[in-house]
Amino acid sequence: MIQLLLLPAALLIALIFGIPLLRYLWLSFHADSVITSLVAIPNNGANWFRLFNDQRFWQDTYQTARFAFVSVSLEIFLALGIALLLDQRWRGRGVVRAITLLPWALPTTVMALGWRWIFNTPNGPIEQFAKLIGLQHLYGLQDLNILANPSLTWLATVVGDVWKTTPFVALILLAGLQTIPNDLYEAFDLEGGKPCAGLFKITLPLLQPYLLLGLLFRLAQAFGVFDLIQVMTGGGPASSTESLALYAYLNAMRFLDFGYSATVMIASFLLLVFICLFGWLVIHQTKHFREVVK
Amino acid sequence: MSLILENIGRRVGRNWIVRHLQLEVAEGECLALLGPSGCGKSSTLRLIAGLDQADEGTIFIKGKDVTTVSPVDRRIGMVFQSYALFPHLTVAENLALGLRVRKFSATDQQKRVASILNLMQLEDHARQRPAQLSGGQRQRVALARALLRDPLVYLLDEPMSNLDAQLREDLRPELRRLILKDGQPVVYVTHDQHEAMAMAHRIGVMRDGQLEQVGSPQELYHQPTSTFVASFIGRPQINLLPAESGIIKAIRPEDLKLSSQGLPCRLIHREWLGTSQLWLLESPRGQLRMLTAGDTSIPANIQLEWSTKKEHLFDANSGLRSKYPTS
Amino acid sequence: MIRTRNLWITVLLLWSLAPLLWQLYTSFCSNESLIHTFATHQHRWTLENYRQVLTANPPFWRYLLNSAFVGISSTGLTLLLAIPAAYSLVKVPRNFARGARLFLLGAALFPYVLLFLALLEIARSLNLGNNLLALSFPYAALSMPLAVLLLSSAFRDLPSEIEEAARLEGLGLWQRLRWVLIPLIGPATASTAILVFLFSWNEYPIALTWISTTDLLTLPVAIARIAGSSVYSIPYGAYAAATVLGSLPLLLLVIIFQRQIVSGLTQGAIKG
Repeated sequence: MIQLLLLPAALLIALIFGIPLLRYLWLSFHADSVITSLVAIPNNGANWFRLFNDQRFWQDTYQTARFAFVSVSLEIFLALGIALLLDQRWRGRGVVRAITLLPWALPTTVMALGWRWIFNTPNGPIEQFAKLIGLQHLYGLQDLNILANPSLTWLATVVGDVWKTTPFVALILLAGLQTIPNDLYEAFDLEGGKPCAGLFKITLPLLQPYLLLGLLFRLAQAFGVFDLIQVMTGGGPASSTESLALYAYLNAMRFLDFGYSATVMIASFLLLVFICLFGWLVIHQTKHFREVVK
Repeated sequence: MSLILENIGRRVGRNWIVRHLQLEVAEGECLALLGPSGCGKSSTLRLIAGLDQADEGTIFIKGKDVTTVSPVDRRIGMVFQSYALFPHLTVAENLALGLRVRKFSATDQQKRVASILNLMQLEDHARQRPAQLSGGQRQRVALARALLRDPLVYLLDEPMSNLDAQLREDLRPELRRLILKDGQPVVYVTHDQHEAMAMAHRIGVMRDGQLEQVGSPQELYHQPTSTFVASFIGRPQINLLPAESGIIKAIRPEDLKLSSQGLPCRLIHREWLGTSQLWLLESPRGQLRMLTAGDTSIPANIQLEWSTKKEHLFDANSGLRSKYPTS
Repeated sequence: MIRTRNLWITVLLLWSLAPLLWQLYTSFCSNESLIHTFATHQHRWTLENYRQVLTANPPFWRYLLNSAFVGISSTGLTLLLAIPAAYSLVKVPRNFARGARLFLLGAALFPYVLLFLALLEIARSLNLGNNLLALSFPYAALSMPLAVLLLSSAFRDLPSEIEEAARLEGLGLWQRLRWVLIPLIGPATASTAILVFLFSWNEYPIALTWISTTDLLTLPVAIARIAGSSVYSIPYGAYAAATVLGSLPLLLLVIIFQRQIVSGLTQGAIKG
């Protein structure tokens, strides 16, 4: 009887998560585009052949992975610092915590556009500041032209992502820090341990589950990055910041090729599952490795 | 008999946490279930209340088979170990909630709550929440809620264990008076033998989901049917001495006497208890506890003896009694 | 020690606030002054940007209302379905509950952007496009995994004796939920509600594809539209004014509900 209470929620989840995935799987084996007058026609896996030979798909895969790994590593690192800072007792901590949270609470699109203005050439503050100290001469350029320079643009998107989501990771780590009893550090101090060693000997090992949780959550989100890129760079310049989700979006909404868009989405989903499994295995291995070394 | 458990059993997975339980409680009788933690005493209480379903056996309340009846319809007045007061409601609201869902009129609710608050001397706390009350006051609210149920059976699950030792002793007579005043059967679960002896007419000692022995406090003390009951009842603990031919001799610490010839012992520890003192002794037959008068001085050579009349004899394999002391 | 800490606190505040303050600054600048940021100007300060945003057609507050409407309806729908589900998850057999939690965690991790195309198809076939109320269905579904996880861990933390006492008092399932259990998980409900509201307020890809009528746009889409108007010359002043106006409600929300947000996120971390 009591299981019936689960039913409405389960049905809604199945409808919104399950049906799309099945539909994509089905669509990915059909041609459904302007050419077929938006009617789905079976095409014997042609979408998948196309995918494997699609330079742009693999390029986007690389770019998405690069974006995800770099921003998530930075986020974990910075978040750890912030969490350690917020874990200490000082006056005004609550206010600072609220302010730290602010970037996370704002809509991604709002600040994506904000960053576009900040990185604007030639009028944005970063460019002006670079000009002031003559940074562009280092590269022999007129302007840094951040959002038009493929080697810099993706870094700008990383900055935008790190700024927005570090608070989220920091809070997860803060939750972890608050579960570590203080007497552990006191005992460590009595043993004559250095404060810095406490971080590595006590904090990090005990924080491990929270680090993993934050890592997993953020990796999955970063791999599906869409809002930030679409609004901040539109995937440009020259598709150099295009993510897999954006590519799938463009295939559907701009090229009106639904069959191929579905194929890209299924492929992205499989890649993500693969990365998560791989990451889990690596973590598992290192754990095992550490036990062996001990 | 107004509460009867017939061959009750409860299984979790493959383990029987309660089994073959046979128990009868009369009107106006308080029966304590006593045992170490995990022995199944609280589980038995939950079976009587209907919070868990029995996997075998039958439960009768006032002659009616209630084995499959819902908890509400069994009319149980229960006091939980944590008191389980509703923390978001005031004392008066806590008491009125049950009356309201049982469709008492508003004036009736007020009248009943007021009279029970008066009985429990809680009038001053009617508008407070449980968190603002002391442990003793919370216990009284929990008891008031149970009394308001107008129950056929009272069940109390370690109602004292959240109180400090002094308060516990102070509250015993009052609690006993209140739960017995309607003449209903009471089952009182505790792990504290002093509390069980103070509160109950009869005590059931439980072990591994089974009733080991049921009887008056005197019976349990003087005629324990197993080494388990013998060691569980009576402090300091009874001495168990392995004897020849598969027999265990058990002798209470207060029955050991100093003598000029007997079992030679060495004193290894001594506790001062006021009017008496406890000696922990090392002997060739194992460690012994001895209770002696407060002014006894330690002789140079400690030798012990006891009257064979005071010996309890148990079978070493089964742990069951083979001979009563012939006092 | 304390001095270095204050230094780090300052850095943290700067890092968090500087981009926002820059938007605030921009929103009060005339367009001419924006072209040369560090040069001095006669007519730097202006309210023109705000006037422009608030008198546009439709006026900007319209989008705020739309977002608030979607946020409230999705939060309501989510709680309506998540509370019973969370309760039952505590009562079902342990192995089933463990499997369900794992599944929910996976769903919470899922990058939902990938669902937009099929959801769009659903919206078209059921004629749900350009309907703010209909948006709460995907929003509620996407928030559901986290909401059920958070609420069920709150139910699990309640001492079981409380519910048993209520049962003995004669309260039926619905009465127990209504009078005892739901009031007791109030704090967790508040945290969950605020997280769901934030998600719905901020959601972009689904709103982008489901809503095309200008009057019905939610805030994130409306703001992105400003950006889409031209790739090269975005009216940054007007845009910054929109950002500031769009951020104010969230600023208030974060300040008022800071504790609930933090406890929601941290509970999720500890129990997830």
